[in-house]
Amino acid sequence: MKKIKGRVEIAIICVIIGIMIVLQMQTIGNLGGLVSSQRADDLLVELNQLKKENTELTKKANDLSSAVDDFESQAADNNRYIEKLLQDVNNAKIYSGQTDLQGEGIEITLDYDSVENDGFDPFLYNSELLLIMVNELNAAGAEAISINGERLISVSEIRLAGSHININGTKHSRPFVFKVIGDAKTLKSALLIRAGIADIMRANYISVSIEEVEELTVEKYEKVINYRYAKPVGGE
Amino acid sequence: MIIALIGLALGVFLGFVLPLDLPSSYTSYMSIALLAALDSVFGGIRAEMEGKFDSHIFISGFFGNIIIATFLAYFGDRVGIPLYYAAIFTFGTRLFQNFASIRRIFLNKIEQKYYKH
Repeated sequence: MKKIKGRVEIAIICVIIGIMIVLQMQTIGNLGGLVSSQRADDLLVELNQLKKENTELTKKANDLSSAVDDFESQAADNNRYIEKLLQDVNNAKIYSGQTDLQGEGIEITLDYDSVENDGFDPFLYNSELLLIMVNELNAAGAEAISINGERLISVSEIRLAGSHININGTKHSRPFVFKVIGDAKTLKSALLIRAGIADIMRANYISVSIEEVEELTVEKYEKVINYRYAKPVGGE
Repeated sequence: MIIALIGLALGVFLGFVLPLDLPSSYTSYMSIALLAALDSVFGGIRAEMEGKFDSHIFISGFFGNIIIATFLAYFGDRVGIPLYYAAIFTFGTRLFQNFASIRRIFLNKIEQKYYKH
């Protein structure tokens, strides 16, 4: 009798172990397998190296562009015609988004306030909402828009790519900070209109906070615009 | 032994059927708890085969081991010391020792059965 009683207890505890095994297996299966810490360390080292390289290259690019500015101003000192040309070039740069711009505007922060760390990301399911927001801002007279430091120009894309959102070919994830130059009141009311984009986003679990800023700096487009196929019609 | 396997099968079945969900950040604690639980069960089986089984020791050891192992892992995470290694080494070693004892007892039984005649 005593032997059987002991076995019943083992059986009950085996039930608990079975439940634990299944729970653990299902959770790890949902994660897509565990990354071993060795591999994670390797990736971390690689990431740090690339980050370092990236900062160095950015610095180099800045140095080179300031050298170009120097040459331009030197040439402009000598000649009025060149000075006029330079002004045209600068204007063209402003219109094409290749200079930092300053002015009145709004700053919008989009994020997801998770109650717990549940791994849910509303931006992965509704990435088009970002596009709609850009569209609304343009319709409300925005003069320059950047998202997380990526200036939006005519060739910019906002697109879901795996577990990130690609903007100007660079991976971004939440929070998304929009910097918009334009009439702050108009922009704000365009977003906050009833059943407008802010309401739609909130309905999709995205938190929207809008701030009016008097002096806002919108970063320039960092990449090189290169047309391979398009050519201007006619000659100069 | 058979009743233990039946219990395990029932547990697996329940695990699939019940709508339980484990947050992904707790998987490491769960794995430690699982190891502690397995250790206790092997210890229990061994004690039963040796005829020293005591249900109070078994049950208190089962839950006590799980709680201490999970707490060690959690505490180690908080203070930055990988304390869960301690649990893994202890329980892993004991698991093998228990299994070795079970094997010896089992083989002894078979020998006694067949070589007596």
